[in-house]
Amino acid sequence: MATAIGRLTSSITTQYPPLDLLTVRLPLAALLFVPLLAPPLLPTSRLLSLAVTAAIYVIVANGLHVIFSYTGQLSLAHTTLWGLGAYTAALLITHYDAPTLALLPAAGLGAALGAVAIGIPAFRTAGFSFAIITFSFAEIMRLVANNWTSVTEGSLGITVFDAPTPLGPIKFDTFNHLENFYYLTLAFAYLSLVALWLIRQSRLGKTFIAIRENEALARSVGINVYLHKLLAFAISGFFAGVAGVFFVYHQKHIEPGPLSPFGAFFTIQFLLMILIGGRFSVLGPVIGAAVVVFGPEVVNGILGDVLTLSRTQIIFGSLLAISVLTAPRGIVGQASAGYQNFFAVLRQSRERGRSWPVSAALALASSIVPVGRGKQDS
Amino acid sequence: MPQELTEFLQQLFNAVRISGVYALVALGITVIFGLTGIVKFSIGELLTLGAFLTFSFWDQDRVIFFLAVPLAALAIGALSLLLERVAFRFTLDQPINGFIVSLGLILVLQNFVIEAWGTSPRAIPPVFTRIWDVGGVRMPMHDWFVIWVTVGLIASLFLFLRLTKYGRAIRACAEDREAAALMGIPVGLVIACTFALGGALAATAGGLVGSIQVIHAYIGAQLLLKGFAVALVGGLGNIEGAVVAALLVGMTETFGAGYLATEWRDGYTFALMIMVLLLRPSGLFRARGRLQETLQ
Repeated sequence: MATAIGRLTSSITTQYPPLDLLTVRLPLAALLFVPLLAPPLLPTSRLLSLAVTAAIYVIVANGLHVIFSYTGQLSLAHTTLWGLGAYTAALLITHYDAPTLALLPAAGLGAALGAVAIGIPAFRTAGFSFAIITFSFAEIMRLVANNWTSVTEGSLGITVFDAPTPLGPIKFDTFNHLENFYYLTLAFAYLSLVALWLIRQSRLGKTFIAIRENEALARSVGINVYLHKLLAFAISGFFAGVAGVFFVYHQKHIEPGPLSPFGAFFTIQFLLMILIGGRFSVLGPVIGAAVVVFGPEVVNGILGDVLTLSRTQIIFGSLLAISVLTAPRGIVGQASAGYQNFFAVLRQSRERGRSWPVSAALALASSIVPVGRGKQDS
Repeated sequence: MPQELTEFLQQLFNAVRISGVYALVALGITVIFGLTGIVKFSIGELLTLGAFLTFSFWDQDRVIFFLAVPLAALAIGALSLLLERVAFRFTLDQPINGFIVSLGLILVLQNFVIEAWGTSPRAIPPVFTRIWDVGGVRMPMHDWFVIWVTVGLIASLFLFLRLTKYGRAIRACAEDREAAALMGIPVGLVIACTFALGGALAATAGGLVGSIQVIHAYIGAQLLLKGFAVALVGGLGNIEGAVVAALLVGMTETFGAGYLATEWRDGYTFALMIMVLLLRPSGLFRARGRLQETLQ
């Protein structure tokens, strides 16, 4: 059976049919609006609070997508930039009572500046050295947050009691108006998605991808690689910084613990989202964030609270390793390859004179275990 | 002896003691990188696991320390071998994927330790309790024991790599995997064994660390960074460089913490590492072999 599928799928030369705009892409795109219905659908405020977390993660992961997936630079300082945005916001709130709408650009720019400061020395290196140098900068910034007690309160961290400032009549107090706060966060998650898509469509995004695919070649056609990497890093930092504002309002606390968002190891969680979701798709981080946040909830709901935090992490860690090894294009890539395989195998099998049930079974099997690779839509 | 000299010698002693542990971690990293180009970040978690296994062997069955550490090293070596067989060998042509796999393994192993032993700190009591006092410098006998064990291990690793047939095979694979394969060296086996060796070294470091300081589920993450700094400063893939760099890093942070400010202890190491990476990206001592280009 398995060999039959292998033989069939390996003989596929043309991908048939492509992801059709009307029958596949649009219905799937409609799924993007499901989060708008979250507040009436989610039964408890704990779940709604998780949905806020998911929306924040989407913004952070979208930022990492720009530098990691588009530009191909594995930055391990990403959550540190997130933390930098969160600290900027926390300090501006506690000292200056800054309004929320002013905080967003301030924290975004703060984190973008942090990214540039790290990037200027770090982009003199590439590959592993870049990953490790960003890791060291992340740890150094955590040390600074720990030791510069007069500003950061050291390891105690900063607690923010203020609610986001109201927009006209709409209040965003996360205790009494969690729903409004959810929509505010969600709005920015959508914005980040649109921004990501625009970057991907623009000349800039294509330049980033050119750098990822072949740095030497990109340089030879006149692309300033160093500057574009810095720019990609700054953009990703801006996303993270904006997410930091929502994080502070949602968690009401930020501290520089090694496992807090300010620790470099937390970046692994976002790598996980991108790789599980699909690094070659604009929607990869969204799907990844949804899986990481709600996956354990679903499993716990079905099997009855079997997943503790550490067990969840064990499973996600394995998933990260397995997806890198067997499905480097993530859920999005697997799903589109599976969809294409289904029709291709069905057609070929029918052409070879197999009966309908056998063909359908083969096609279904090959779509679940897509051996052939679908068209790459980075 | 004058007070300053005593203090200096005490710091030096502490630096040498911790350098040995860093060197063991760094050697595991450096040997694996030199051979495969894979930066194995999860080695820190193998260290944690080794430390906790040593703790369990020692505590539950009263296996003496001299047996508990090799047992833990053996177990982690086997685990490392298994991981190479099921995961890392598929990433040999794309080392960055190996790096990401090792990031996933960090989550798995760290949380496994939390599941199995919890997050509370543990301590393995020292084997030797005597403390020598030489002119005001306090030198616990157990620390000397740890120092000599690490020196012995590093020396035997050198001799193994330089003098034996197997060591020559490892070095040949590091120079040129294809040519080594043409010479009839079972490259896959050599790589698998090197992963086992790296894991066993990390586990030994873990057991030794457990006997000189408190261990907890996150200790591997901390020591990994130090081991990494050492491997990078020494030039990834360069074994002699790692030993010299271990002393350099150990002294930088010990003297920095002793004479400048304690709270920036880890910062000195990172600053040193960043400076070396920027000024001499291939490390203070140039690494050998074609794998160097993957770093640039």
